[in-house]
Amino acid sequence: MALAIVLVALVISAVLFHAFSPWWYTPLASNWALIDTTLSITLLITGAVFIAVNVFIAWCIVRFRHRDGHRAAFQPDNRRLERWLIALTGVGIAAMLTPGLFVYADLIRPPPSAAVIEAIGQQWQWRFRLPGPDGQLGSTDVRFIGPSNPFGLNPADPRGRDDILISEPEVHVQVNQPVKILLRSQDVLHDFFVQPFRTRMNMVPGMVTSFWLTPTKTGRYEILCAQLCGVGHFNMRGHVVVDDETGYRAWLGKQRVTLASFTPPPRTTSTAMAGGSPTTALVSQGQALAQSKGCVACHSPTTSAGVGPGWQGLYGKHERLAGGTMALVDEAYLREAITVPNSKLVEGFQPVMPKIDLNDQEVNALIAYIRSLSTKPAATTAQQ
Amino acid sequence: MNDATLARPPSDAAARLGLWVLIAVITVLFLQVIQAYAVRSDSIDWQRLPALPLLGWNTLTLLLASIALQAAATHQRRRIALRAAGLFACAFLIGQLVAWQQMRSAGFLVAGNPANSFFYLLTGMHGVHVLGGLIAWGLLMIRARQGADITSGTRLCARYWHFLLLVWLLLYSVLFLIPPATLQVICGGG
Amino acid sequence: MAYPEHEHAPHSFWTRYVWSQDHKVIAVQYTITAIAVGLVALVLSNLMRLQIGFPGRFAFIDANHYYQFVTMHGMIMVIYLLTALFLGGFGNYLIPLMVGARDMVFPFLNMLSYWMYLLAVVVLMGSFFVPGGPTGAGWTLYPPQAILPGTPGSGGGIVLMLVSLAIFIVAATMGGLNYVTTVLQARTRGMTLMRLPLTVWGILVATIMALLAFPALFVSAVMMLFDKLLGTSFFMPAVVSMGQALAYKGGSPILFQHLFWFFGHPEVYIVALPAFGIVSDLISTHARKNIFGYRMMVWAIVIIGVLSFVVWAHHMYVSGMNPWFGFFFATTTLVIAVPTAIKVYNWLLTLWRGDIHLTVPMLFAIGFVSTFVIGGLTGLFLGNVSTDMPLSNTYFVVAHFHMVMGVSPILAIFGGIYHWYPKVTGRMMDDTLGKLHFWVTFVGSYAIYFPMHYLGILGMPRRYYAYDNYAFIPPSAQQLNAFITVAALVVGAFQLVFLYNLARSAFNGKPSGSNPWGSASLEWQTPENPPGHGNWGPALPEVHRWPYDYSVPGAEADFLPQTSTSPLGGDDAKPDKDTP
Repeated sequence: MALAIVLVALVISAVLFHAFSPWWYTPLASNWALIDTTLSITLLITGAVFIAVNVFIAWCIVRFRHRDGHRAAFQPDNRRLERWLIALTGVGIAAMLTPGLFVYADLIRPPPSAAVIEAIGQQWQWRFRLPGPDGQLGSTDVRFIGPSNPFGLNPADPRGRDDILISEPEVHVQVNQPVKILLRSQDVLHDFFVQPFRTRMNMVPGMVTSFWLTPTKTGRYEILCAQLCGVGHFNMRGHVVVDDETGYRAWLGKQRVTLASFTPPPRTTSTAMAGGSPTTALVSQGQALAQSKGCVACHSPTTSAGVGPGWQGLYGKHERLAGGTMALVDEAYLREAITVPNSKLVEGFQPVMPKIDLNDQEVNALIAYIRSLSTKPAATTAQQ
Repeated sequence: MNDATLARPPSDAAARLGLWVLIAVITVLFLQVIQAYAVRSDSIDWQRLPALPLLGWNTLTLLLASIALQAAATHQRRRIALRAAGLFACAFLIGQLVAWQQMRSAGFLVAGNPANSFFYLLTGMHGVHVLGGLIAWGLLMIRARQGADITSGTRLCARYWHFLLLVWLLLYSVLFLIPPATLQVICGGG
Repeated sequence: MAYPEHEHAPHSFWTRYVWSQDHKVIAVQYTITAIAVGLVALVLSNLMRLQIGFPGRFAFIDANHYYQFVTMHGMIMVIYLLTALFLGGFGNYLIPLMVGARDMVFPFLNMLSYWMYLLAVVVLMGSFFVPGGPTGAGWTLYPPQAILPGTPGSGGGIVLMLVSLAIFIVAATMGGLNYVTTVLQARTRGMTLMRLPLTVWGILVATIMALLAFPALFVSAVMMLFDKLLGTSFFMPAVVSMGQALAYKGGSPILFQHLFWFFGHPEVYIVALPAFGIVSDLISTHARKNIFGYRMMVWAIVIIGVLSFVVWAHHMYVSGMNPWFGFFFATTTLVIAVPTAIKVYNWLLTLWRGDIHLTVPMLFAIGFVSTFVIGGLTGLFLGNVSTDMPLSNTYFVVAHFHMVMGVSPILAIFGGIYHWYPKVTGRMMDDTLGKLHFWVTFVGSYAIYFPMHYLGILGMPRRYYAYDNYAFIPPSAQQLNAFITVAALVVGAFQLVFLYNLARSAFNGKPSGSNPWGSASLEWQTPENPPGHGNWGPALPEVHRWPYDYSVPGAEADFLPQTSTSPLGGDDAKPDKDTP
């Protein structure tokens, strides 16, 4: 009896939960309304079955529970009933599958007019590449990847010379313009997932995958990595901005980096950075580096520890190292920690920090940035 | 894994069925690798290995082991045929090891090219199964020495050996005879 | 099958309980080992829930540990608990008793199978103690990630995991050979295939599937070991990892996924089919009514078994494989829902007009139907390729597979243990504790997983260590996660009630008599309870009917055992009034 009540209560709370749940998909921002429709059809059918099954069980328990002198009916089979049930199930399945397959046929057929952009994943950051004036992306290969060619462009391919390279984890697309997003990875599997777009695809090293959509709503959306890609997976953040035409052109006009003009930051310490005092410039360069080199995947700019120690308040602190000794976090300590990873290990952390290619000036910038986090209040560090 | 004959089944029928099931499992195992081989051989860096003459001789020893076991299973003078089968099987395994050595000294290292990797993987897996068969054979010899009736055991052993021979012939053709393109068509492409 | 009478009845403690070749002892060894290792996985899941529910509160759970917990929890639960317990535990105990055999046909191989399984478990647990810890690659172990730095345990951890899997597969193959051969060759007189209890059918088909599917995992494990240890490039393309170009070249990560899921999807049914069988028998016995549509149930099991080999790539809709595969796999995946639905209908129709005794096993069986239905229905979202796009790799997937192959098989296992415990020990498990255990587990599972679907629809990706500063995730999601964690902790803690009941009842439980549930199937008709060595005493039983003759009209008792020679009921006399 209690079971019957509980089953009915579960059904009622499930329906109520559904009705009042604040957790539902984000507003659609692409042309894939049909995915939402298919999802609604599926939800309707499956929801009805869920309710029917549980209520039927509850009713059976009440109606046919054991009573003295009562005996079960003897009925091994009922072919006709079974045939009806199979047919009904078949109809329900077809009602879900058919729209699903129609949508899928569109999903895998990008329109020829679609603009093409490329997203490149790496542990744990995003980069993007747009075709230049020739409208074509040049070929790439992992073996070309190096400090001066982080995108792995084939230097011999003329189509690639005008490609626009974007090293920040943010890309813009134009509203109502179909776009095909090519996906590459240089190390492990990643997945380009923007929930409001609904569609997505894995990024597989060694091959180029793709998907397409037409953004329908301007705004700034988060890109998530949705395929486990190592310990920094949850922090592989990026943004895609859907602009109207003028906004998009303005943004595109500012993107001028190509393979020829891509230079790794200079080796000599040049203090003539654009605007601001030298220190501020160094700090903001450090902040950019922390993003682009993926440091932030493990080191939060707050006090909270991630894979590695948080950076806020780190400078000047005494850290307890594995083995029990204490060490003052100063410039020399940070330099060693960055350039010779895992030489000293803070207690409670694993020796998993990778060696990142940085020149002296970049190390200085990172140190300046980390240092700045210990002298400023937390609020300014939460941006980006 | 190859102990179908080892557990002294109470009845020949059960042991026969058990062996067939085992053969099915091993078949699936090799087919999976061959499927992977077909998919992987589609890549541009694929460089097929040359067939070593030694491998032909090894095929012959495995064939002889099979024939000897069949003779042991059907004829009365079981002991000699059984011993010969074991010798041939050992010769096959040694021959395979020598073939590995030759491949390696010819510069075909295991990580050098995916075709090399598959060669070592497939021959290695096959060798392990031959080794398993040899263990069953050894147990059979011990039981023969103890004077037990080994008629059914010998028959099962022979059947397993014929199967290993077929697997080896399949592997040999996949590795050296069938062009990768044909194989990809057979396996339904990648 | 004429066994010599009590051929090698063991005498010493060691041969009886440790190096035993008796299927009943091996079954208990399998069960205890699986439950023990499952407890480890349960604790791991609670630890990871602590991090998700209360991020940063528990400093010792850093991101490395978190991913290691996730991975080990998944792998242990799927392989080392569920597969081992259903096939090695239930399969070993029930098959010979239900088909009327004295033991498995290859007892020595059976013993070897258990010890290999134990070795696999020990190797797996060993990976907790190697430098770098166990692998944190996710239970799917996708390369390149699984063997590259940047993933926890990419050194010794992943190697031991792969070795352990290979050993496990050898163990499962040894066991599987036995189960298949025993069912097909060692049935007693009169036990036709169509008189087998559905439990045996479920285990038989699951075993055949395991025998055919595990080689794919074996192959992928061995090939990944080659890639890791010998530097081959089966699955490894050219990569630049952490700024360093590695020597790999040309391999295909997607090839691994195909191999993995060619095993992985049948694996779902390897776990589900025995659960189907067990639940069918529990519902029939405790509703005092024959299972509805037995023939259809058998065919459904077989068809599900066959179809499950052609649906694997529905795990790979967004993997980058040839997109045209999507049409095929979406269709096959949704078609498999039809035989599965038939099973659900037949359980419901078995309850209908029954005489339902709400015993503890019955509670768990009905709980299974409810949770399996919700898990199966959400599978329709994920199997239909276009609706999978927004849901893939979110918490919707986590909720789905935990309902369908976490909670529901576990409920079937619990139901089975409460049901057959008197057979194994001769004593009943405590009823009150059993009910307490059921209510918390059943309602708690709903509390954990029902809301989780909604987090998935919202778009929260799975396998995230933390969700700080994601603008599209409202703060309320964090509160919901905290709620889920609390529910998970409560459910986890109440499993101790089960363990206590399990251990205590072995000594203090009420003596059960020989057939406490009034079950018709053969395993309850042994001359002794618990059955002695050789199971059947001097003569093997003779079977005259199917195992579902409950409430046969005209019969005095409300069940006729399979050994009964009564002319009433029986599979040959099935009335089929509604068929024209």
